[in-house]
Amino acid sequence: MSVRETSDCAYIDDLKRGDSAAFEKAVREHAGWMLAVARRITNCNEDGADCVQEAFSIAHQKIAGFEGRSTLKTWLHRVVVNQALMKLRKRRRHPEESIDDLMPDFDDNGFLIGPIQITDETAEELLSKKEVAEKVRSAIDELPETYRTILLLRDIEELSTAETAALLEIDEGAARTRLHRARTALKKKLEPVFDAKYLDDVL
Amino acid sequence: MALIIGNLGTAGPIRRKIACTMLDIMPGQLSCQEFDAFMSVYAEHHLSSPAQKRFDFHLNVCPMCRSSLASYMKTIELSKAAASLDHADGPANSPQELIDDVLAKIALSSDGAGANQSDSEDTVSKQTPAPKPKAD
Repeated sequence: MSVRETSDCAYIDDLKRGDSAAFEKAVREHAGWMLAVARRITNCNEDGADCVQEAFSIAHQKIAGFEGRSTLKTWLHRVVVNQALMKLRKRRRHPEESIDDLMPDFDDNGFLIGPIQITDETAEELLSKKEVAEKVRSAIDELPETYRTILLLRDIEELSTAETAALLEIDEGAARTRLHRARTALKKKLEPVFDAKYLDDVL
Repeated sequence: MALIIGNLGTAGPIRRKIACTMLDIMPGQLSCQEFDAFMSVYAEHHLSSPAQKRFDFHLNVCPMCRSSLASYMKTIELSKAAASLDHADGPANSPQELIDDVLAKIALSSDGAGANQSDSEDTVSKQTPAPKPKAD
C-alpha cells in the first residue's frame, strides 16, 4: 500500500487549531485504512480497533505540532504502525519456531536444488483466484512473528529499511537479513501457488 | 554460450549439469548461495555495477536461480498486491462503530484535559507544540 500519494489535507489548519468538526472528518477519512493496517500487523480485529483508537488519541494530542513535512496520511500511518507494534510487543509469548526448513537447499558445491516453472500470470491475475488470495494471506500469517512483522513493515507498509530498523530496535544490516529470510520463507510457502503446473492441475 | 544456456528455460538435470560446470570453470562468478544472498539487494535496485554484472552473468547461466529469482520477485509482488485487496481507503470504508468509539474517547480525554486549562482558545493555540511521534 502506498501511503505517499495523497495530497496534503485541505483542512489541516483547522485540525491543528483543534477544530472538532475537522477532527471528525479526519477520523472518517482515515479510520478505515488505519484499521486495515493495524489488523494486518496485530493479526487481530479487536487489537486492530484498539490501535486505531489509541492512534487517534495520540494524533489528537500531537496534531498541533504536525509540521507538514509528510502528508497527514503518512504521519497517521506511522502513528498507527507504532501503536500496532507496541501491541505486538505487549503480547509476545512463546518462543518462535525456526524457519530453517523453509530456506533454500544448496548441494555440497553451493548449487541450488529444486527449481520450479513459474507461471506468467501477474499478481493481480493470481489473486483474482480466491484460493490463491487466501493462500497468500494465510502464508503471511503463518510466518513466525519476527519475520511476519518485518515483511509487513517493509513489503506491505513500505517503510524504509532505516525506519523499520529504528522501529524494531535492530541495526539496518539485521533488518536486511531478516527481511531476506522472511521473503525466502514466504516464497517457499507460496511456490505451489505460482508453479505453472500446480495452477493448471489444481485450480 | 551463456546466452544459449540462458534461453533454455527450466532446469532439467542436463541443463543443471551444464550450468554447474560453467559456473565452476569461470573464475570469480557467484555461486547459487551467493546469488541468493544478493537477491534482496537486487530487489531494492541497490546492486553496485560490478555486482550487477556478476549477478546478471549467473542469472543467464543458471536456470535454477532464474526460477528462484522469479519466484522471489513474485512473492514480493503478491504480498503487496494481497494487502491492496483490503480496499480500506476513504470514508466509505471506515466502520461507523469505530468512528463513534474514537470520537467518544477523544471527547472524554478532551474534557479531562480541559479541567486543567484555561478555556481561552488563544491559550490553546499558543501551547508549545507537542513532540512528534517517534515514528515520524
